[in-house]
Amino acid sequence: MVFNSSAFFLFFLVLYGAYRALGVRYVMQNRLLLVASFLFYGFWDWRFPCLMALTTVVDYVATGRMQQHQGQRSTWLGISLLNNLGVLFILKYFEFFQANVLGTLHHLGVEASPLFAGVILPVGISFYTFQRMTFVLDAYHGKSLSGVGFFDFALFVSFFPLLLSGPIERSSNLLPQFMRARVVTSLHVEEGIWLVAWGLFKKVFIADNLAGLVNPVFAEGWDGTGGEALIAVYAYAFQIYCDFSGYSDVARGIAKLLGFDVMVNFNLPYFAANPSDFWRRWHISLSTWLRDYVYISLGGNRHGAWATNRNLMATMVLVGLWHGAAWTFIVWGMYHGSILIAHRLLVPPRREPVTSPWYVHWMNVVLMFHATCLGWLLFRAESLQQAGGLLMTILDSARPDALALSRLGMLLGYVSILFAVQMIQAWRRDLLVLKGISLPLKGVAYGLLFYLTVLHGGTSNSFIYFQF
Amino acid sequence: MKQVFNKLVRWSLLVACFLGTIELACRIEQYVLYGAPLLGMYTYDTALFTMDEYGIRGKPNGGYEKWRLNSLGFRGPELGIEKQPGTLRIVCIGASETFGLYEGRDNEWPRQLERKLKAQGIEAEVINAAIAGMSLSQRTIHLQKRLLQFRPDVVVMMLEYGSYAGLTPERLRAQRSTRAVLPDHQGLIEQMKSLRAPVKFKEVAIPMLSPLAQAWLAKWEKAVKLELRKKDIGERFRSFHHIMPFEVEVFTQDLDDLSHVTQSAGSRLVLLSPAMWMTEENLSSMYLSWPYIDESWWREAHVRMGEEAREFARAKHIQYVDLSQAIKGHEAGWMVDMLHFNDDGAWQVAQYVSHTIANKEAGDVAH
Repeated sequence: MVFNSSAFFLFFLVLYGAYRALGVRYVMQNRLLLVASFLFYGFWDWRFPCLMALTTVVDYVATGRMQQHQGQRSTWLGISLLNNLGVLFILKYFEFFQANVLGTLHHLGVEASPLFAGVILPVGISFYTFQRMTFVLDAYHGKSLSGVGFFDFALFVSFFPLLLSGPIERSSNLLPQFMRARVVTSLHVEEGIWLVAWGLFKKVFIADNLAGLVNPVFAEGWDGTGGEALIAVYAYAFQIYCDFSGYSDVARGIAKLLGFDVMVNFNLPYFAANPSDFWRRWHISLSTWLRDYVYISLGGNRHGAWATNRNLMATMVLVGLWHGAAWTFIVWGMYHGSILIAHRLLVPPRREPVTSPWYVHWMNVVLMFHATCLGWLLFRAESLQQAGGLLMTILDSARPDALALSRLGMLLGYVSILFAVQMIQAWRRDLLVLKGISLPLKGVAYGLLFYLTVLHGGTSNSFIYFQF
Repeated sequence: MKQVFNKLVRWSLLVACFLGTIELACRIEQYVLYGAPLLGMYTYDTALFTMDEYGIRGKPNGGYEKWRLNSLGFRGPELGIEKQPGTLRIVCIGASETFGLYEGRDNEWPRQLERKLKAQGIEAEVINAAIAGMSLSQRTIHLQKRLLQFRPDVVVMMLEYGSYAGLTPERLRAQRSTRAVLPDHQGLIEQMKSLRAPVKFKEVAIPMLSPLAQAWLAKWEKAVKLELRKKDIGERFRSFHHIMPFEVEVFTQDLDDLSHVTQSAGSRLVLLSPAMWMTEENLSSMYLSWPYIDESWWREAHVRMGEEAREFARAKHIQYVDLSQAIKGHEAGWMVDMLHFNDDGAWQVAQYVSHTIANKEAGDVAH
């Protein structure tokens, strides 16, 4: 069941009616949300919620023991990490690891058979595992919340708007909201509806339609022009952004309608002027998670330039690996690590922010966008060979021929409204731009979004980030 | 109270702007894609058909979504009145099955027939002069008054039976003394029905639903429409059960008139029986278009009028193709409902007709 399906629409309609009918009885509301979340997840495969429940119990027990027995904190942390990362490794990375080991052994003349293959990867496992780990790691560092009941914790892990593709919420932000009565104000509803509408527009109208420009180029046996490939890479930059940020917006919108405030996951990432800026705007919940729990734990920037760069690279490789078990993702992470390091070397961080002239700033934005697109080529490719082949095709034969220009026209057509709205969002420094406009204009804006999303949307029934 | 009123006004304004924007966007889209008028009616009937002294005809340069008419009001490419030397000119007359309803653009059977004949090396020019809903007697007038000027070598006509149901001498007199008219779109309800956004929404939103929900909605919609039809005509709903001798008599007379007109113009006539896929589901859908006719009448007409047409063709040495026989066993793959074809079905009809035209021996070529 995905957000852009009629099944979800009906599911949410029934749930929302029941939820609002419970008024301020938040404990009952939490139980309702918990059941709904497990049902929502069970729609994919009945085994997924079972696994989630089991690992949630282990983490809850481990955290409880950590708080009760201060001396055994490391042991219980180890058990919890084994529970989280062990399951993630087996389900997500084992086959990749196994294939590489077997391949290396084969080169050395040793033949071995695989231990097992064909493991089903539960959708959203990376998201909820990382979300759950914030609770355990905070407890380990003595920052845990007191009085968190098991059902509240289970709801924090399984909360259906965030379950499949985040944002990866912090226990310190979301858990307290479960532990008190919520008041759904008209502002919540207004913001929630806008986020849902805008998110669905980005996903269904932009991302799903752009898939038509992207998928054929990355399909096996494609033999087109460099211009076509170049437009496909640009299109993918917008497809993945709109797909993922669209999901995040809908998730935040649904949470708002239920009375919860969830963190912003994307803040106009293609307006970033340098690599550090990009990672402060793209998938914020993951980048801040890795900053806080990995980069800083590794020492951050406290031990000199070399150690800082090493920590940066290690963190970015993890970012790549988090997305999936493939060399393309690892190289993509290394690529971003490299440009982050290069940027640090070229422009050392200063205490006082430096304001550049507007044209320099925009030149940097354009440059950064192209650097990001190069990364997306690696990210989207099925293999490093394919990425290299496409890059060579682009460099060899990217010309403004008729096909490339027509594709460019389509791309610009699909992203024009996004660009216009984001210019306003950037100018007003407000992602919820619709709040301030007059009522008739709101009607026009929603009408236009409805027309494009419902009457001209694509038909994909999945989100790109579900696979991660 | 004033607060409630203000809130109501504000919400109404928001909803009006929301709906107005969607309607305007749909109109602009249709204007850009199909050249539809921004204001006023844009429906299948009003965009494609018009009236003249002989009744309904195709609107010159008319167009509605995938349907395009040429400057003479026929579906298909432009053509001159004068025939090119060495060209076999074929006029196809019929109703929506011939005009094309579900087929993709340029895939209605007359267009496919032209392509098929050309592929066989016959320089053919096919005029699709069909008008949706036109009765057999109207077609004869259509042929005589509008189509003979094109000097067709062959006239291909797909028969219809529905307009004969319940025919009595009085009804026949009344029917023949008045012209067929286009549906009236003047009333407020009709104007509301011409809103573009709901039509577009229905087209797009229903396929998004699960197959089960789609089937349920289609069933529900049909049931509501049938109920409305029943209310409209009361006891007369499904009141024609059996085919009457008078109905068959008039049908044969109309065939004879058509044959005379064709022969006197020196054209060869080819008759096609309608392909009728009579499942329970399809028959029940027919009540929406023909609410007076019971399914037993359709079954009898299919046999009785089919036999009559076959005998008539044999007696007059007219070529006749029994399409119901021709499509037997393939209905689900070639037809969309009881009477209309999909692209594959239209291709099969084109095959049969091209075979018949190429085979100049008169007689029954049904298989």
